[in-house]
Amino acid sequence: MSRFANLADKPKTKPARVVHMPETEAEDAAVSSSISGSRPNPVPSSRVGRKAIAAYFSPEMSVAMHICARKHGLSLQELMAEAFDDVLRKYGQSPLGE
Amino acid sequence: MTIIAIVSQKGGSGKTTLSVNLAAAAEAAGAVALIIDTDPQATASQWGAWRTYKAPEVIDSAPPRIQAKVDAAKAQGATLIVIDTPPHADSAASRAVEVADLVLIPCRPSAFDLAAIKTTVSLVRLFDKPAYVVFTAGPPYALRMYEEAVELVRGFGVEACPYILPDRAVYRHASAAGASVIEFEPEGKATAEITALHMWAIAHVNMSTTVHEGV
Repeated sequence: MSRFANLADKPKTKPARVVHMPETEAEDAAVSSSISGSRPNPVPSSRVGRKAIAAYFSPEMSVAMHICARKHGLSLQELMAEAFDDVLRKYGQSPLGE
Repeated sequence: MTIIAIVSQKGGSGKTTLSVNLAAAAEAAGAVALIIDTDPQATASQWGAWRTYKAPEVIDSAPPRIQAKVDAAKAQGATLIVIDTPPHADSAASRAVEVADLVLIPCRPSAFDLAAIKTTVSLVRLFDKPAYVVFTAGPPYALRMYEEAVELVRGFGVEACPYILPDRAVYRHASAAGASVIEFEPEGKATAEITALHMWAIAHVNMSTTVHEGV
Protein backbone atom coordinates (compact mmCIF):
# COMPACT_ATOMS: atom_id res chain seq x y z
CA MET A 1 0.00 0.00 0.00
CA SER A 2 1.57 3.23 -1.11
CA ARG A 3 1.43 6.30 1.10
CA PHE A 4 3.13 8.88 -1.08
CA ALA A 5 2.94 7.64 -4.68
CA ASN A 6 0.55 10.50 -5.49
CA LEU A 7 3.43 12.91 -4.94
CA ALA A 8 5.69 11.42 -7.61
CA ASP A 9 6.51 13.45 -10.72
CA LYS A 10 5.87 10.59 -13.09
CA PRO A 11 4.31 7.13 -12.83
CA LYS A 12 6.90 4.61 -11.71
CA THR A 13 5.60 1.75 -13.82
CA LYS A 14 6.64 3.36 -17.09
CA PRO A 15 10.21 2.85 -18.27
CA ALA A 16 12.39 5.94 -18.31
CA ARG A 17 11.77 7.82 -21.52
CA VAL A 18 14.76 9.21 -23.37
CA VAL A 19 13.97 12.77 -24.29
CA HIS A 20 15.47 13.65 -27.62
CA MET A 21 17.16 17.03 -27.47
CA PRO A 22 17.24 18.70 -30.89
CA GLU A 23 20.67 20.07 -31.70
CA THR A 24 20.09 22.09 -34.84
CA GLU A 25 17.40 24.57 -35.75
CA ALA A 26 16.25 22.41 -38.65
CA GLU A 27 15.95 19.42 -36.35
CA ASP A 28 14.26 21.66 -33.83
CA ALA A 29 11.59 22.59 -36.35
CA ALA A 30 11.20 18.98 -37.46
CA VAL A 31 10.65 17.85 -33.89
CA SER A 32 8.21 20.69 -33.22
CA SER A 33 6.12 19.82 -36.26
CA SER A 34 6.09 16.09 -35.51
CA ILE A 35 4.41 16.41 -32.15
CA SER A 36 0.86 17.02 -33.32
CA GLY A 37 -0.29 13.73 -31.74
CA SER A 38 -0.75 12.90 -28.06
CA ARG A 39 3.00 12.76 -27.42
CA PRO A 40 4.21 15.40 -24.94
CA ASN A 41 6.13 18.22 -26.54
CA PRO A 42 9.89 17.65 -26.06
CA VAL A 43 10.56 21.35 -26.71
CA PRO A 44 9.12 23.45 -23.85
CA SER A 45 7.09 26.37 -25.16
CA SER A 46 9.40 28.77 -23.28
CA ARG A 47 12.28 27.60 -25.50
CA VAL A 48 10.59 27.71 -28.89
CA GLY A 49 12.34 30.21 -31.14
CA ARG A 50 15.04 30.89 -28.56
CA LYS A 51 18.74 30.09 -28.43
CA ALA A 52 20.74 28.53 -25.60
CA ILE A 53 23.89 30.28 -24.41
CA ALA A 54 26.12 27.99 -22.37
CA ALA A 55 29.47 28.48 -20.70
CA TYR A 56 31.68 26.61 -18.27
CA PHE A 57 32.51 28.08 -14.88
CA SER A 58 33.97 26.92 -11.57
CA PRO A 59 31.62 25.05 -9.21
CA GLU A 60 31.88 28.05 -6.87
CA MET A 61 30.55 30.40 -9.54
CA SER A 62 27.69 28.03 -10.30
CA VAL A 63 26.72 27.77 -6.65
CA ALA A 64 27.01 31.53 -6.15
CA MET A 65 24.74 32.22 -9.14
CA HIS A 66 22.11 29.70 -8.02
CA ILE A 67 22.11 31.06 -4.47
CA CYS A 68 21.91 34.66 -5.68
CA ALA A 69 18.94 33.75 -7.87
CA ARG A 70 17.19 31.99 -4.99
CA LYS A 71 17.83 34.83 -2.55
CA HIS A 72 16.20 37.32 -4.90
CA GLY A 73 13.35 35.05 -5.93
CA LEU A 74 14.59 34.86 -9.51
CA SER A 75 15.17 31.97 -11.84
CA LEU A 76 18.72 31.44 -13.05
CA GLN A 77 17.49 32.49 -16.49
CA GLU A 78 16.17 35.81 -15.13
CA LEU A 79 19.38 36.44 -13.20
CA MET A 80 21.51 35.75 -16.26
CA ALA A 81 19.29 37.96 -18.43
CA GLU A 82 19.79 40.77 -15.92
CA ALA A 83 23.55 40.20 -15.93
CA PHE A 84 23.70 40.17 -19.73
CA ASP A 85 21.73 43.41 -19.93
CA ASP A 86 24.08 44.96 -17.37
CA VAL A 87 27.16 43.96 -19.33
CA LEU A 88 25.66 45.27 -22.56
CA ARG A 89 25.11 48.64 -20.86
CA LYS A 90 28.67 48.53 -19.51
CA TYR A 91 30.06 48.17 -23.02
CA GLY A 92 27.81 50.89 -24.40
CA GLN A 93 25.28 48.70 -26.14
CA SER A 94 21.53 48.64 -25.77
CA PRO A 95 20.18 46.14 -23.24
CA LEU A 96 17.57 43.78 -24.64
CA GLY A 97 15.46 43.77 -21.50
CA GLU A 98 14.65 40.06 -21.61
CA MET B 1 8.95 16.65 11.00
CA THR B 2 12.65 16.30 10.27
CA ILE B 3 14.19 16.97 6.87
CA ILE B 4 17.69 15.72 6.14
CA ALA B 5 19.41 16.67 2.90
CA ILE B 6 22.15 14.39 1.58
CA VAL B 7 24.45 16.58 -0.47
CA SER B 8 27.84 16.11 -2.07
CA GLN B 9 29.10 17.59 -5.30
CA LYS B 10 31.24 14.50 -5.74
CA GLY B 11 29.86 11.41 -7.45
CA GLY B 12 30.17 7.96 -5.91
CA SER B 13 30.35 9.26 -2.36
CA GLY B 14 27.43 7.12 -1.19
CA LYS B 15 24.61 9.68 -1.26
CA THR B 16 21.92 7.26 -2.36
CA THR B 17 23.18 4.46 -0.12
CA LEU B 18 23.12 6.82 2.85
CA SER B 19 19.71 8.23 1.85
CA VAL B 20 17.85 4.95 1.54
CA ASN B 21 19.42 3.32 4.57
CA LEU B 22 18.97 6.39 6.77
CA ALA B 23 15.29 6.51 5.80
CA ALA B 24 15.03 2.77 6.49
CA ALA B 25 16.59 3.27 9.91
CA ALA B 26 14.04 6.01 10.64
CA GLU B 27 11.21 3.75 9.49
CA ALA B 28 12.54 0.95 11.71
CA ALA B 29 12.53 3.39 14.63
CA GLY B 30 8.85 4.14 14.07
CA ALA B 31 9.01 7.19 11.82
CA VAL B 32 6.97 7.60 8.66
CA ALA B 33 9.91 8.12 6.35
CA LEU B 34 10.01 9.29 2.77
CA ILE B 35 12.91 9.65 0.33
CA ILE B 36 12.74 12.46 -2.22
CA ASP B 37 14.99 11.60 -5.15
CA THR B 38 16.11 14.69 -7.05
CA ASP B 39 18.79 12.87 -9.06
CA PRO B 40 17.94 12.58 -12.78
CA GLN B 41 19.78 9.24 -12.70
CA ALA B 42 16.97 8.15 -10.34
CA THR B 43 19.07 5.61 -8.45
CA ALA B 44 17.00 5.91 -5.29
CA SER B 45 13.80 5.71 -7.36
CA GLN B 46 15.10 2.50 -8.94
CA TRP B 47 15.63 1.08 -5.46
CA GLY B 48 12.10 2.19 -4.55
CA ALA B 49 10.67 0.52 -7.66
CA TRP B 50 12.46 -2.75 -6.81
CA ARG B 51 10.75 -2.83 -3.44
CA THR B 52 7.34 -1.85 -4.85
CA TYR B 53 6.18 0.79 -2.39
CA LYS B 54 7.40 -1.00 0.71
CA ALA B 55 8.25 1.67 3.27
CA PRO B 56 10.31 3.81 3.15
CA GLU B 57 8.95 4.98 -0.16
CA VAL B 58 10.81 6.95 -2.77
CA ILE B 59 9.30 9.75 -4.85
CA ASP B 60 11.08 11.78 -7.47
CA SER B 61 11.12 15.54 -7.69
CA ALA B 62 12.42 18.24 -9.96
CA PRO B 63 14.33 20.82 -7.88
CA PRO B 64 11.70 23.60 -8.04
CA ARG B 65 9.04 21.25 -6.62
CA ILE B 66 10.97 20.07 -3.57
CA GLN B 67 9.35 22.54 -1.17
CA ALA B 68 5.82 21.77 -2.38
CA LYS B 69 6.44 18.03 -2.10
CA VAL B 70 7.85 18.40 1.40
CA ASP B 71 4.73 20.32 2.43
CA ALA B 72 2.42 17.76 0.82
CA ALA B 73 4.28 14.84 2.39
CA LYS B 74 4.06 16.48 5.80
CA ALA B 75 0.30 16.87 5.35
CA GLN B 76 0.13 13.18 4.45
CA GLY B 77 1.85 12.17 7.67
CA ALA B 78 5.54 11.98 6.87
CA THR B 79 7.68 12.50 9.97
CA LEU B 80 11.11 12.22 8.35
CA ILE B 81 12.14 13.15 4.85
CA VAL B 82 15.52 12.38 3.32
CA ILE B 83 16.36 14.31 0.17
CA ASP B 84 18.85 12.59 -2.12
CA THR B 85 20.60 14.95 -4.53
CA PRO B 86 22.65 14.45 -7.68
CA PRO B 87 26.35 15.38 -7.91
CA HIS B 88 27.25 18.53 -9.86
CA ALA B 89 23.70 19.88 -9.55
CA ASP B 90 23.59 23.17 -7.78
CA SER B 91 19.91 23.73 -8.33
CA ALA B 92 18.81 20.50 -6.66
CA ALA B 93 21.45 20.79 -3.95
CA SER B 94 20.60 24.38 -3.05
CA ARG B 95 16.84 23.70 -2.93
CA ALA B 96 17.45 20.64 -0.77
CA VAL B 97 19.75 22.51 1.61
CA GLU B 98 17.26 25.35 1.80
CA VAL B 99 14.46 23.16 3.18
CA ALA B 100 16.66 20.90 5.34
CA ASP B 101 17.00 20.85 9.12
CA LEU B 102 20.28 19.00 8.82
CA VAL B 103 22.68 18.47 5.92
CA LEU B 104 24.80 15.35 5.73
CA ILE B 105 27.75 15.34 3.33
CA PRO B 106 28.82 11.77 2.59
CA CYS B 107 32.49 11.59 1.68
CA ARG B 108 35.05 8.87 1.17
CA PRO B 109 38.04 9.37 3.47
CA SER B 110 40.46 10.05 0.62
CA ALA B 111 42.32 13.23 -0.26
CA PHE B 112 40.58 13.69 -3.61
CA ASP B 113 37.12 13.28 -2.15
CA LEU B 114 37.87 15.46 0.85
CA ALA B 115 39.17 18.28 -1.34
CA ALA B 116 35.93 18.14 -3.33
CA ILE B 117 33.69 18.87 -0.34
CA LYS B 118 34.78 22.54 -0.26
CA THR B 119 32.08 23.52 -2.74
CA THR B 120 29.42 21.67 -0.80
CA VAL B 121 30.54 23.36 2.41
CA SER B 122 30.25 26.81 0.83
CA LEU B 123 26.73 25.96 -0.33
CA VAL B 124 25.71 24.88 3.16
CA ARG B 125 27.28 28.00 4.71
CA LEU B 126 25.32 30.33 2.45
CA PHE B 127 22.09 28.90 3.85
CA ASP B 128 23.51 28.74 7.37
CA LYS B 129 22.42 25.12 7.93
CA PRO B 130 23.94 22.63 10.35
CA ALA B 131 26.06 20.25 8.29
CA TYR B 132 28.26 17.28 9.00
CA VAL B 133 30.56 15.19 6.86
CA VAL B 134 29.78 11.48 7.09
CA PHE B 135 32.69 9.24 6.16
CA THR B 136 31.51 6.49 3.86
CA ALA B 137 33.01 3.49 2.08
CA GLY B 138 36.29 3.66 3.97
CA PRO B 139 37.98 0.89 5.96
CA PRO B 140 36.18 -0.07 9.20
CA TYR B 141 39.36 0.17 11.30
CA ALA B 142 41.75 2.98 10.49
CA LEU B 143 41.68 5.20 13.53
CA ARG B 144 44.65 7.31 12.56
CA MET B 145 43.37 7.89 9.02
CA TYR B 146 39.96 9.01 10.28
CA GLU B 147 41.59 11.34 12.80
CA GLU B 148 43.49 13.01 9.98
CA ALA B 149 40.35 13.19 7.83
CA VAL B 150 38.43 14.83 10.69
CA GLU B 151 41.18 17.44 11.02
CA LEU B 152 41.11 18.12 7.29
CA VAL B 153 37.33 18.49 7.33
CA ARG B 154 37.59 20.95 10.23
CA GLY B 155 40.01 22.95 8.11
CA PHE B 156 37.18 23.48 5.63
CA GLY B 157 35.01 24.86 8.42
CA VAL B 158 32.69 21.90 8.93
CA GLU B 159 32.53 19.14 11.52
CA ALA B 160 32.62 15.41 10.87
CA CYS B 161 29.81 13.20 12.12
CA PRO B 162 31.07 11.01 14.98
CA TYR B 163 29.54 7.95 13.30
CA ILE B 164 31.02 6.50 10.13
CA LEU B 165 29.60 4.10 7.56
CA PRO B 166 32.56 1.96 6.53
CA ASP B 167 32.52 -0.13 3.38
CA ARG B 168 30.52 -3.31 3.88
CA ALA B 169 29.52 -5.83 1.23
CA VAL B 170 26.00 -5.94 2.67
CA TYR B 171 25.26 -2.49 1.16
CA ARG B 172 25.72 -3.95 -2.33
CA HIS B 173 23.79 -7.15 -1.55
CA ALA B 174 20.93 -5.23 0.05
CA SER B 175 20.67 -2.65 -2.74
CA ALA B 176 20.58 -5.36 -5.39
CA ALA B 177 17.69 -6.97 -3.51
CA GLY B 178 15.83 -3.66 -3.22
CA ALA B 179 16.31 -3.79 0.54
CA SER B 180 17.96 -1.70 3.20
CA VAL B 181 20.81 -3.21 5.21
CA ILE B 182 18.45 -3.23 8.18
CA GLU B 183 16.04 -5.55 6.37
CA PHE B 184 18.78 -7.58 4.74
CA GLU B 185 20.94 -8.26 7.76
CA PRO B 186 19.15 -7.07 10.92
CA GLU B 187 21.97 -8.21 13.22
CA GLY B 188 24.79 -6.99 10.97
CA LYS B 189 27.41 -4.35 11.63
CA ALA B 190 26.06 -2.06 8.89
CA THR B 191 22.66 -2.11 10.60
CA ALA B 192 24.22 -1.12 13.92
CA GLU B 193 26.16 1.68 12.21
CA ILE B 194 23.27 3.20 10.27
CA THR B 195 21.00 2.91 13.33
CA ALA B 196 23.56 4.79 15.43
CA LEU B 197 23.91 7.45 12.73
CA HIS B 198 20.13 7.86 12.57
CA MET B 199 19.80 8.24 16.33
CA TRP B 200 22.61 10.78 16.35
CA ALA B 201 21.00 12.75 13.50
CA ILE B 202 17.59 12.86 15.20
CA ALA B 203 19.11 13.85 18.53
CA HIS B 204 21.10 16.55 16.79
CA VAL B 205 18.07 18.00 15.00
CA ASN B 206 15.96 17.94 18.17
CA MET B 207 18.75 19.55 20.16
CA SER B 208 19.33 22.39 17.72
CA THR B 209 15.57 22.99 17.41
CA THR B 210 15.28 23.29 21.20
CA VAL B 211 18.25 25.62 21.38
CA HIS B 212 16.77 27.90 18.72
CA GLU B 213 13.38 27.91 20.42
CA GLY B 214 15.01 28.91 23.70
CA VAL B 215 16.76 31.93 22.22
